[in-house]
Amino acid sequence: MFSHLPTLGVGIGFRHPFRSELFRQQQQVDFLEIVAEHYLDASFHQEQELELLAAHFPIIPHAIGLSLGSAEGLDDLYLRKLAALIKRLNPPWWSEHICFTKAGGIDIGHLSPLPHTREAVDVLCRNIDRVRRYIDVPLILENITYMMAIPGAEMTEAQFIAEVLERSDCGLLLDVTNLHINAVNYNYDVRDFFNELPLERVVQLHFVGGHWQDGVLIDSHSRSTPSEVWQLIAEVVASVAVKGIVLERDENLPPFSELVNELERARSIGRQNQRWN
Amino acid sequence: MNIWLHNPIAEMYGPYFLLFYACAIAITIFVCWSLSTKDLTANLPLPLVPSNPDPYEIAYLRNSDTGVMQLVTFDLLVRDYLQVEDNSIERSPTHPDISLLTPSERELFDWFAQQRTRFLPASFQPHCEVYRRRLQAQQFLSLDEWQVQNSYVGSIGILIILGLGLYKLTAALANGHHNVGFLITMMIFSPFLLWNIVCSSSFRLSDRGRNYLNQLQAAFAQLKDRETNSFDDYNLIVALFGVSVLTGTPYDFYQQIFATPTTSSTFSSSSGGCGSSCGGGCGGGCGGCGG
Repeated sequence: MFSHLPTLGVGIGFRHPFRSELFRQQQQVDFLEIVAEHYLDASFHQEQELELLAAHFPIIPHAIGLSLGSAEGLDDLYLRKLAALIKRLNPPWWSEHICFTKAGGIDIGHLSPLPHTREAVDVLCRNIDRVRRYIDVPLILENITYMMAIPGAEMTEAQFIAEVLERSDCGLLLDVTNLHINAVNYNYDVRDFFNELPLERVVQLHFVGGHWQDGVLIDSHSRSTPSEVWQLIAEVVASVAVKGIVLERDENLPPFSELVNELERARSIGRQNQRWN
Repeated sequence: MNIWLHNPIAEMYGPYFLLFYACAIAITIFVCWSLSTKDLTANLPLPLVPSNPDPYEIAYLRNSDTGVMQLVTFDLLVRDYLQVEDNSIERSPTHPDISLLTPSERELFDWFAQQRTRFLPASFQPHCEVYRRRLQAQQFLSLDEWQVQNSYVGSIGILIILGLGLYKLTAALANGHHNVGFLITMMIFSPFLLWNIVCSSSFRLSDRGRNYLNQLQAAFAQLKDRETNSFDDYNLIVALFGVSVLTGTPYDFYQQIFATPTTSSTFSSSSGGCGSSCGGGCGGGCGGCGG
């Protein structure tokens, strides 16, 4: 289904503090994922940075503020800027989240969960149709974590994601850490979740570690990847022709060598399954 | 003689001549700019940033021989071949095996047999030739021919401008006109303008070289801000940004030697410090000048 997409291998979410180390150890990184919003209204230095990065790595734009789940529709100006950025980078795919971040014209600054209803599916698919009028690069959608389940669900989260992916014909950016965190916090079996997902639509994976707070596992992107997530990655990579995997560390950044160790572990999992070199 | 003092140009009404002269200057500058050799290297694609760039090559790119000498000296200090004593540099009495030194390192090590407080040796320059050739092959350095040719073109243009202006000045004075202030002003400033435009490519680095250096500095800028760096990283930092970035690091002492150019403890290249070599875009400051 997404077999025409190139295999990118092992990548990392680009964060400014490790730029020099990234160039020092560039052979350890096959591609970069950038947060698209950082470059929508880029300063001269950000433009230069992006140019420098794009000259050395394939770049996947990862959007966080499009708010695909907003019933009121999408922000046109934002969409045009995002389209221009994606056109400039010409990536094999780009990604956004299955969530909403804007309501009533207010940006709530958080990836917020949608109710698992048919109406929400309709909203998502309608917005994705609109996005496609501006951006013809394949879009892959990411599953998020949530601190509360929205009441009134008409289907499970996995069924909801599957419905959105099928109807919009999008790929899946499976955030294995988010999946693990939700499974822990809401006490469900990840394998059941997998069984309801169209795994053939998985294009890319995200992984990182979160932290515990008041008995809740938080998706803070602040710890090294836990063994449970590594186990899930191994299972997914063994069964799906994943095109790329990205370490998404944001907080509490360790020495870059520690991140490289995680990338190497992800690389070895891919190698064992002949997904990438 | 009459024809020289009585012709349309010599007798042209002052403001009209100034207008004519301004046009002549503009045309001369345009023609000279068209005839000058353009640095077309800016359009060439830049090489990718290597994982392990050669710091000595970068030091040469940034600051010519002086940059390389500073880096070699820094390297010898850190590896305990040299030491700082009374604000000058000398051989360390407990230095490691000198057979491990490269020829350029050995050259400096031998030169520091005595406590040195002034210039670095001219004999070091041949050791930099390999870097000059490499950078020249990649079109990172301006070609001497560009500078010579542009100087000729610029000189001819200036002669034309000054010649016309002097002629009119002489004719005006001979005809009893002394309101020549604007004419003299134009004669003074227009040659500078022409020289800047025509010879602007006469920097040490080509556009491609400057862009590549900027790219390297952007890629490795954060190494400057880290609390801890490996020795290799320090070498790269000094190569890219000069010794001034060592302020506040464990190698601050080395930076301090270069920090006060007027004191006897400062040393620089015997070829006269950085001089024109900084014109090409030192970027992170002119370490060789003590700045």
